Amino acid sequence: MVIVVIMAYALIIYWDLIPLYRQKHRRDFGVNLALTLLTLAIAILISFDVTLPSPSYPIRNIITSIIGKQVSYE
Amino acid sequence: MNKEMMSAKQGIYLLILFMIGSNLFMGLAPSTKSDAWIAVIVGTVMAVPMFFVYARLLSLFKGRDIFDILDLVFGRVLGRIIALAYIWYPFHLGAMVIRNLGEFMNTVAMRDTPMLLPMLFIGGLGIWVVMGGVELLGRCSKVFLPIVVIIMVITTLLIIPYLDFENFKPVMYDGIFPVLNGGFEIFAFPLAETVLFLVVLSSVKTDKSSYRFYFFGLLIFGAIGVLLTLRNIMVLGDDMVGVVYFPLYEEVSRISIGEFIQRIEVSVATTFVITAFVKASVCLYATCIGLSKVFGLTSYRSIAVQTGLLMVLFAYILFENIMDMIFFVSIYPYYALPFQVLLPVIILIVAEIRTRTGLLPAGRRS
Repeated sequence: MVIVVIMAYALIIYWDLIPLYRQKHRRDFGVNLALTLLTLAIAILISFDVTLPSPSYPIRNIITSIIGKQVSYE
Repeated sequence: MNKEMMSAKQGIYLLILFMIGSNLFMGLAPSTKSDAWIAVIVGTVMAVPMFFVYARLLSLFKGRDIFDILDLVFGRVLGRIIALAYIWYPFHLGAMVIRNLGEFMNTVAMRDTPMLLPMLFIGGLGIWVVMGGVELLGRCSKVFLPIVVIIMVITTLLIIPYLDFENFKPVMYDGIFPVLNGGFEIFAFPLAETVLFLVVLSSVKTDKSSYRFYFFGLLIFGAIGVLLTLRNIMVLGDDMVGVVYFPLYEEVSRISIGEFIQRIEVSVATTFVITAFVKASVCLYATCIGLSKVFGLTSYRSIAVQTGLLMVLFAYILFENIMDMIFFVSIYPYYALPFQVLLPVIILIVAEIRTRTGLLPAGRRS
């Protein structure tokens, strides 16, 4: 699974990131590189079956504390 | 730079498909049970003032999107801070739509397929469309809307033998408040999400008023919403409508005419995939435009692939299971309120004041 992820990212970097560097779009390249590293890290962690923290739970806790709605699944 | 444009018709079609989105398949206001159709009408009426706000913003700054408007109205620093909210919101919404589709595939349609797979495919298609530009999105909607409408008409005709008018009763048994609450859910879930069209409709090439787009779209959505909700209630009954996760799919799966026309629920799954794809693409487009404007990039296309992938991965880690998702949907109207109502109203008030005092050049098409 990890090998598949790394191979897929190698292709993405070759098609998506390197042309930006060649065209000298430095800012685009920088943002794209940051996003690539972030998604690569998440993808590798998911492929290792690591449970990543979801932002929905803090959002849910904040909203339920404001509106006072109890956790129910109805 | 050549600005990308789409036609007025494509804009309206896109708006309608976006509003149909994933919501109709999850059932509109399921908590109101047999009164859901009244809640749809109430929600549509509730959306009218907000649609005035959105359309007014677009007509005040013709040819500009929400990020340009924020820059103009609040200046570079404050404008960009508020713009972060409008990057986060479509990103989160797009992830929820993708997750919704993943849960649908995992729960109902393809139970043994890993959830990530359909999500990756939808994300990949979304990236493709965003790379192609907003014109491609417009052309897609022009092809897809007739397909969705034809499927809805055919399934409505086929479902006629299963309609039971007794299921409407009792009307408003629990009083008016659950209906108003359901109306608010419908207002927040599909209707006020069209705040994202403050990004898309700036690319529509027409001299027609933006009010016309919004209200025509709202009218069509109201008609489709009421029709499908009536169908759901009449076929499934009020108890089932509140319990089933995907009522439309459940309902159409009951069709069996002459033991020949049956198992046509796949047609509903098709419309679900189409509308989820359109909605996720619009969200991805809005996120990419926002990121490119905040970071001052040469083109939003340069980050489309990574943003799309991030959206899919985010969708994957968003909820643990379908119960989590259903609960989040129940608190979603309150979560979305600042993005859908508070911020647009504040932006409009400040824009009106600054325009009338002559501080802003409004009404120009860039």
